[in-house]
Amino acid sequence: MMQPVSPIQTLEADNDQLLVDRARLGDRHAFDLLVLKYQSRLLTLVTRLLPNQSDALDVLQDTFVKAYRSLNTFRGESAFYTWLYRIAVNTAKNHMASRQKESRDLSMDDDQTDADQYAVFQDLGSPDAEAGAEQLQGAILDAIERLPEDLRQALTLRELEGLSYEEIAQAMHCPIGTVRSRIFRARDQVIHEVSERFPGTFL
Amino acid sequence: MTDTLRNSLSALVDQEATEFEARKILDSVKTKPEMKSYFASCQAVRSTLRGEPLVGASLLDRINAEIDGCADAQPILASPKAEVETHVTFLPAREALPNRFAALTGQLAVAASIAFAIVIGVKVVAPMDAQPVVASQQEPLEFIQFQMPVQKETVSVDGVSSAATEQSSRPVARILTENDMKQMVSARLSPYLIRHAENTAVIGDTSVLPLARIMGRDEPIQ
Repeated sequence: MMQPVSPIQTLEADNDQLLVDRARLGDRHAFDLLVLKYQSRLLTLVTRLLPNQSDALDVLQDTFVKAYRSLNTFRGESAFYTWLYRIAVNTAKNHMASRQKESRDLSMDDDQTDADQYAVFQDLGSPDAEAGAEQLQGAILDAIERLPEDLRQALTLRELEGLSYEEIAQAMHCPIGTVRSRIFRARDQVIHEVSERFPGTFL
Repeated sequence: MTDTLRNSLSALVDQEATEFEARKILDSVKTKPEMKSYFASCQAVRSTLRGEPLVGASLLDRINAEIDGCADAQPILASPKAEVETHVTFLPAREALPNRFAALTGQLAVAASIAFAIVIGVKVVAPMDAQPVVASQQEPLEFIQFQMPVQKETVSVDGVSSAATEQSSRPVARILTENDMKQMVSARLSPYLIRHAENTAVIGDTSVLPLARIMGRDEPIQ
């Protein structure tokens, strides 16, 4: 028996499908939006497979490049993220295999020093960058805390509970348009506040 | 960047943007790079709340640099649209000629069929000896929709006796009233207006004349 498809699922598929269709026709901005949309979610996945931050970022980069090259093979039968997920997992597995091969080659090489071996495996992630990201996340959370109650509630219901606008409207007893407006104003306020604290960041 | 665009971007983050909005965003982002930053910022707020790691803008730059620098990363240019254009441009004249001839033949066949249907329809609706009756009807004939007879039949040369005897079994003509006409016009206009609104949303606000013309009609647009 087929599962009923909810309107939100249809809408999600439509939004992504439009971006994919435009990217297929060579619209790089559409592909950029897809990257921005899924990069954090994919990084979470890849980091579970490859704890090394630098390796994870390399795999993430390869994943999106492969996805771009293979966009013509995406037929929309599954969600775009599901398709990306498979590419990311395969890329991570290949990456791990090549790392293991390098590791075996290094162990057989008598001239290789311990320091060189360490250089292959050491974490190349920048501590400064990580600290900056943590500060940024702290500032975002602070700004969310300072939001008016109705805005914060709408935003958290959306982001943490994953409710659709329609479901939030039912929960908050207000029209969908109001929900949409509240979520927008919440984000806008947070972005504005964080931008003032961290000028020149990507925000 | 206007509030409306930022609002649409926020909805796109939540997968709640309409198709019109998504198209508008994709067209505007080409000339407004700050829209991409705003989209990334909205995603950063989401990632923070969900406990996901933040990714700097450098990753996108690296991805774009690799795609730009790698020839293998450009198969998308062989899009269906490009294939069609190339096919049309480089089709040899010797191959194109039969297609054109076939198209002309098809058009002629369609025109002949329509002419035949009209002749048959006129014979049925207004036989020669019944002309005064039709002319004396009070209600003017605005539109006549013809339908080809389904079953085989013989038409006599004078066209009088057979039309009189077989009239009840022939569903060949129907007179449309003004209401029917309005329904037909409305049914055709609605998709046209939707398409027009869609194109207007994509192109901008440069083409609103059809809407202005329709607004002058008696009935509100459905």
